Amino acid sequence: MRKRPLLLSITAASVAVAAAFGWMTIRRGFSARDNPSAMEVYVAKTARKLSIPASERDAKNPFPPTPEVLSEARAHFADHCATCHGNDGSGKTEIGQNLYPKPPDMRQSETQNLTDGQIYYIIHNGIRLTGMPAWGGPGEDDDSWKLVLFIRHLPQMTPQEMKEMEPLNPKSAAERSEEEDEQRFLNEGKTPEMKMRMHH
Amino acid sequence: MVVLAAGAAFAHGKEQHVMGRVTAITDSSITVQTKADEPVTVYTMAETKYEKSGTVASMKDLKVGDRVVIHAEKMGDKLMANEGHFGVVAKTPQQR
Repeated sequence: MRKRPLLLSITAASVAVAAAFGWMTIRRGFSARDNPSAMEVYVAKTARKLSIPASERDAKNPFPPTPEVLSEARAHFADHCATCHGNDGSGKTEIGQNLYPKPPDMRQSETQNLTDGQIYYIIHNGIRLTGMPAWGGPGEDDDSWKLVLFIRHLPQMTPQEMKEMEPLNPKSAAERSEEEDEQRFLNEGKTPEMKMRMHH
Repeated sequence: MVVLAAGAAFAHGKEQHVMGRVTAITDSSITVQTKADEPVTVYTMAETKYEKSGTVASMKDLKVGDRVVIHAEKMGDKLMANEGHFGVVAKTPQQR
């Protein structure tokens, strides 16, 4: 009988804490410009870690890091991933810096300390409530495994490798036209007409 | 000597593209004469990347009188250079 008031008190306190946390979260607003609180980061990372089955976490990459595989993965990353993550994996892109949460700097230990299986799982399944979509079909996908190799290579990227990725980055027609204007100016000194463009 | 000014500053999201001829270079800045005949000073950073004729270069490779395209971002009241492109460039291969 004595346990009942204690249980009620604990339940009431838990509800109050949850309500306060919810209220504070709502009052902070829903702007994607903010960074998640330490509590939010901890809860999200713990949930992500627990959500990856052990068999997936310990899965081995079926591809070796040969120059051919890395080159293929680099081109794939430039086309599909760099808009948010940047060619260097820093996440310092216009879209990346305005997402909630911001993409991590994948050259750092936060990503590099994940297992190959965890990185593959994140690419292949995406992460809910973030900007990270799921890639590839429902089954095992080779491209995601190759991307894991490229992500492992990010800390050793050379400026020349990054340069080779630039033509493969997705660009709008307006951006391509602007690039052509710039090339024409550098090559021939022909001056393009004054243009003002905002890309959003 | 009359400097044939050329270029424009394009808004590119947060980035501006400053095109013109280099009229002055210091350790931390590049001044460009644009089409509007205005000198625009862009400040360089340790992270600023340079490219001459499509290959990785350094600020030392840039000379007064060169045509240059600088991708810069406004920070406070200063334009900070992210990338500087100069030299003749091959046409960028079109993707897809």
